Amino acid sequence: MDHFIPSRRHFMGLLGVTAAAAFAPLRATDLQLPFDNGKRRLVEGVEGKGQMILQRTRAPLLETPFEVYDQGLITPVDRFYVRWHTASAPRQIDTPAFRVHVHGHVERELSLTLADISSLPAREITAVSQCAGNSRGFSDPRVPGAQWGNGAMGNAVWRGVSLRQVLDRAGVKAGAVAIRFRGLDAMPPQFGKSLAVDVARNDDVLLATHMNGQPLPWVHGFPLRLVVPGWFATYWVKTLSDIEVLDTEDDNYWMAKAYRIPTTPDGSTTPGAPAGATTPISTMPPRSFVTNLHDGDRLRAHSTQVIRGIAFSGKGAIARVEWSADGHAWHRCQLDSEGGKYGFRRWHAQMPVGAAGQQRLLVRATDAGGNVQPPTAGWNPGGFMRNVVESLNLVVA
Amino acid sequence: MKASLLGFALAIAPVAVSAQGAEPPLPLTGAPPAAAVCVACHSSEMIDYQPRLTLAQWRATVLKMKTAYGAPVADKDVDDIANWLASRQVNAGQAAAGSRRLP
Ligand code: HEC
Repeated sequence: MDHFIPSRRHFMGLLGVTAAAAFAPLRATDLQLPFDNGKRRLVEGVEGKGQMILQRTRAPLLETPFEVYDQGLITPVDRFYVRWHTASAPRQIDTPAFRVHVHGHVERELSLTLADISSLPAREITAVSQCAGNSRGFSDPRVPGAQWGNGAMGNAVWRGVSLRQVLDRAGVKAGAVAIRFRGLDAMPPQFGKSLAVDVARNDDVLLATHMNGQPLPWVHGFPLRLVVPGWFATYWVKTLSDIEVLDTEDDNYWMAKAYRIPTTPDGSTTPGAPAGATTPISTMPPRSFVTNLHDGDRLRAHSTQVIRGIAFSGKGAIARVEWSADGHAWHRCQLDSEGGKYGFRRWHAQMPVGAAGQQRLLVRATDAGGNVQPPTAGWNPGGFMRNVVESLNLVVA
Repeated sequence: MKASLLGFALAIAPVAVSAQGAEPPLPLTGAPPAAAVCVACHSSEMIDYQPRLTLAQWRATVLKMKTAYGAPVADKDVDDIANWLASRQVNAGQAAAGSRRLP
């Protein structure tokens, strides 16, 4: 394996570029996301990124423009969405001094350097990172929070070491319930997320140092972030520096109060209904999108149109993607072989175009666990976990 | 405890805000002075990009900033800030057709 210990000088050099770029968009144009108050700026050069939708300058919220998903299976680092809760994580990290503390209900406390972590066998996993609130702007009725379109998701190749190796070194004691992860965000209530011990011990949960072959940039959690394939990205703690084994349920704000969904089977409830029982959000239900056509596109009557897109699920590999013109008759799409069970899966199909007028296009994914996208959108007060069947209205002429 | 947390939150704000002034300002026309704190921890897009919210939702948001995140908002200012946040959306004519609000 190649080792990841960037020299301090190299890293400071990188910072020089991103810090300067952070507040100096090179170009900005306007864009309208398809919901009320959806006007946003498309900016280039913020946080070292290519063209992105600016949702918030500080702490940065940057959305991936949708056309990026049509350009390849892997989302390039410089177009990958960015989501921070606070602007309190340091922009400069003294990598030789950086430590990850493993403590709590363990046999041996550990204080690991980046070199210690890099000396463990590394692996690569292609996985989708999706914000729990991706697509919140489409919630109906609307709810407060970051008003994302569909671009708070991305698919990257994550490289790192299995968390389990580190947990085994520390020796998780009997009676451990959960493992809490914290990063360097300092602003209270300090960000922290936890996973049940059996989830955290899955070999696929990584302490990642690289994405798409490059060291994680600052905005994606340099020097280390947790990668929890299949789980919403709120668990993918950035600038990870503290791993605490708990012998009780985690009662910290970000688990006990935030990022919770109703306990109903699909996590949704009726708008305006009294608040019922809630549970922390966890794995991602299936989603699929057409990427080469957009709402309102014009098609030629009596032709054949190639349709293509992406699908993913955090609850099982994608088993099938289907398209429909009416929501009743569904037609199988061809699935590409690449992608793996946690990543985007590309699909394509030939769609007959009818007579002049309107034509709808719906697309739905089913995963190996039999989870399928619902025909109507669920709703919850946090605007989380949207996964309704997407539909486009096309104009045939 | 709370005072020191606030000290921290506010201490970081001027650094980011002054950085070449690239953050869009929160137009404070007609705002109660207490609303100035609303851009201490995050830039104003967090407020400007919200959909049209009811007065109750704005009030809950201001209270959430105060109790969950430690925003230094006095009890007596909560309603003033919430009223201003709700009324500026109405004045801006925000929320046209298609944007259902919570019942
Ligand atoms: C002490 C820091 C702090 C102050 C001061 C503050 N906020 Fe926030 N605010 C936050 C944090 C943290 C979030 C969550 C950010 C995220 O999720 O990215 C947030 C989120 C929000 C949101 C999104 C909705 C939500 O519930 O998350 C709105 C709207 C908002 N703030 C409005 C305000 C207003 C209005 C004020 C002035 C009364 C204010 N904020 C003052 C810290 C603060």
